[in-house]
Amino acid sequence: MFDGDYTIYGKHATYIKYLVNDAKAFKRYIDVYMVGATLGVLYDRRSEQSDSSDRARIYSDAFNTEHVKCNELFKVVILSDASKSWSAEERINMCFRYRDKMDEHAVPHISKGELDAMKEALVLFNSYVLGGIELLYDSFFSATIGINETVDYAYKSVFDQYTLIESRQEGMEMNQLLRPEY
Amino acid sequence: MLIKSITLNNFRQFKGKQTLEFSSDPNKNVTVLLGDNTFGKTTILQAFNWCLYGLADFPKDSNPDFLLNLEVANEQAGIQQKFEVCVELNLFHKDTEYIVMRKQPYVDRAYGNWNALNDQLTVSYKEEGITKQVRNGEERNIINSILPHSLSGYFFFDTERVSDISTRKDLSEAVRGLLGLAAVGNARKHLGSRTLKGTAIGQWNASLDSVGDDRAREAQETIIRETEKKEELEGEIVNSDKELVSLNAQKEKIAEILRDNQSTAELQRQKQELEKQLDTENQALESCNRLFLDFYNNAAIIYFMQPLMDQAEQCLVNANVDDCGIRDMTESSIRDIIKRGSCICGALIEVDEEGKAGNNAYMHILDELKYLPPTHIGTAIQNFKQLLESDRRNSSQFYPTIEQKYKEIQKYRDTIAYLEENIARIEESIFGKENMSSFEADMNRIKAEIKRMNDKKERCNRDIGACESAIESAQKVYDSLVSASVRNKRLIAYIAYAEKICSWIDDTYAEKEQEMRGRLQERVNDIFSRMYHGERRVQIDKQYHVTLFAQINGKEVVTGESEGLKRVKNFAFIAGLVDLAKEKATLGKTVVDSVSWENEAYPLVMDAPFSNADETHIKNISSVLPEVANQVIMFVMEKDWQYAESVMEVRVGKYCKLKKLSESCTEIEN
Repeated sequence: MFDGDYTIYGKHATYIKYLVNDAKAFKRYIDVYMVGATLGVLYDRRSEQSDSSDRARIYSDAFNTEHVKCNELFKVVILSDASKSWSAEERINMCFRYRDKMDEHAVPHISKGELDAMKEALVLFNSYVLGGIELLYDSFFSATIGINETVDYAYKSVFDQYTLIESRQEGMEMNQLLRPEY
Repeated sequence: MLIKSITLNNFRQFKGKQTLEFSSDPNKNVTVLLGDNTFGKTTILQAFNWCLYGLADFPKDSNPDFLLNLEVANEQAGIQQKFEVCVELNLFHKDTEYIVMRKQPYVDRAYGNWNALNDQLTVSYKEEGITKQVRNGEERNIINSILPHSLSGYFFFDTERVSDISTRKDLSEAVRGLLGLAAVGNARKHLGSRTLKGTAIGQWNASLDSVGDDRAREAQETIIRETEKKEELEGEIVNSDKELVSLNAQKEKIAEILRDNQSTAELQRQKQELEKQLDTENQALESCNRLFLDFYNNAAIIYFMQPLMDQAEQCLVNANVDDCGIRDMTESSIRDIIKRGSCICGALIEVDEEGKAGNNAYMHILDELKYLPPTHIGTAIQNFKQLLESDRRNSSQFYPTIEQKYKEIQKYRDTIAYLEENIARIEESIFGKENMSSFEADMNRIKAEIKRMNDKKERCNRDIGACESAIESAQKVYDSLVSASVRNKRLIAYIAYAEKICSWIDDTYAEKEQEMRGRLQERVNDIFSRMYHGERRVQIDKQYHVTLFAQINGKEVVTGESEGLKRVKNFAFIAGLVDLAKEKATLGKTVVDSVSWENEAYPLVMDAPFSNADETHIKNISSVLPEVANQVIMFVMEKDWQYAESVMEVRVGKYCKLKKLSESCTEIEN
């Protein structure tokens, strides 16, 4: 898991490029990838790859560098997902027990069910990633994007997160919150 | 002129005050004073001369200058004694009675050493019974108008001393004077001619400023020229002033713009300052932005994950977690150790081919697998929880930090906005005023122009000063020349008049003189023939020298003259003169342009008239003289008088006699 290139096609490629190259909100595609996964879960937004000539590739080097973070994120995503009807045990297995690649010498032996489950989990993860990218794109999109706007949007996203965390700690409904003006 | 009386006071031998009165009866017009030699006849004659003219001609051996009576001088001698000699003459002239008095004071410096002080002449006249004195200094003029000194010798006639009238120097002047021509002659002489500088015409001519008119014209031209120039210069000054006003207005306008420009420059400087600050702020902002985004990029993910972490942990609550296993030990790590064949402790790991059995070490390490994933996940979960915990700790300061950073950015943004606003305001206020160099060039040009104008004004003023002084000096010249010209005109008129008079005199005078000389000769011949018993006739030449001619064989020849004949001749001449002088004097060619004036009849005062004359001549002379002269005063010796008495007796109005008391004292017996 997270040891090969990952290519994003279609609008999400466009989005990820916009976020890195135009808005400069993130330095690398992998940053967008990781934040996207987080936000996707947080706001329960998933998306599928769309067919388009545009594409953006996250190279394996990046995954190697962010290996620990990605694995941690994967576990957080699977454990906190509410979309699947998986049991807690199933999710824990996906996070800590199941292996995602066939290894002849693995002890105990790797079952096919184990592999399938992991594959499904990864699809879920990536769907959250794509959903998160959409959210990020919505957050950062502007016809005239500049560093100031990017900063503002970044701060807004942080402030939203702050508000979200506060509301959860206070036990308040998100909808009841008044959004402050920036 | 008639002589009424003469009073002598201590004059020579006439001691004390003695008066001699003369007859002024027209019919008995002869006064005879009898006296022998040295009795004082000549002294009386000289008393006339002294009284009138201050001159007395006494013989050189008789102390001629000392007039004081010697006896008086002796009697009155004493230091600082003063005594006066005085002669007073009473006469009628032109119906006015004149009193001429001359005093000669003497002072005795030492005993008997009398010094003469200045004599004093007083002339007074009677007007309506009141005696008036003529003005001081006028006495001489009055006397000369009564009887000119030059003629006195003919009327106070010392026969003995002036033996021959014809041997005298040129008598023409005297005769002309006597005949009333002297005034005209003097006038002619006074007028003179242009070449004679001392005469009136000569003086006037010399005073004529012949070049004055040219110079006046020149001066006038200068005045006109300089005045025009001055007006032109004044016009230039007025124009310059106008231009200066306009230039100063322009200067003020540009100066204002330049002053504004100074504030613009100040604003530009401020703007630059602000722009520099802005630049700094922008850089700082950029740097802040970058830091912010870096921070966001690195740390936001954990912050975003926070709520998920809680959810994930919730999910892990029921999981069986025991931490017997070695942390981070994985199944593959164990398998790698087995594959290597030696434990980390150094124990050999031996395993059979199937991998089901092995030595003790193998079994130990295989046992470890039970506590490792996938067999055992407790450690993994534990690890995960610790990781989350660590992340949570790490991100606890994320929000305050990023908020702080954002505030910082906002601060920068505010500062930048403020700076930009200021810059914009400055830009707005200095909009369109950026190019001041053309104004500065204009300013310099105007300043130069103003300086030029002021210089020009100054130059004009200087030139006006020069013009004014030129005008002034020319005016002075002109004024002086104009007055000179007026004088010239006057002088030319004078000269013209004078020359006209001169030519009139010249035309008539010579003729008149000749006529007068002819008449005089005629008259003298007439008288001479009455006096002289022979056949001779008189000729008077241009110098009024009288020559006697005798008729010999039908020819007139100059003859020798005896003393007696000379005396007769002289009397005839004088009688002729006096007779002619009585007549009205006229001058002019025709009756119309003639002028005439009354001549005064003159007395004859004669000293010893009959000496050297024989009886016949004395009788003849005696009969003629009272006829021709209006008053005859004769000082004669008794021996001569006896011949004349018989003829003249009827005409004698008064007899007097001199009585000689001593050599220094004579008395007049009236």
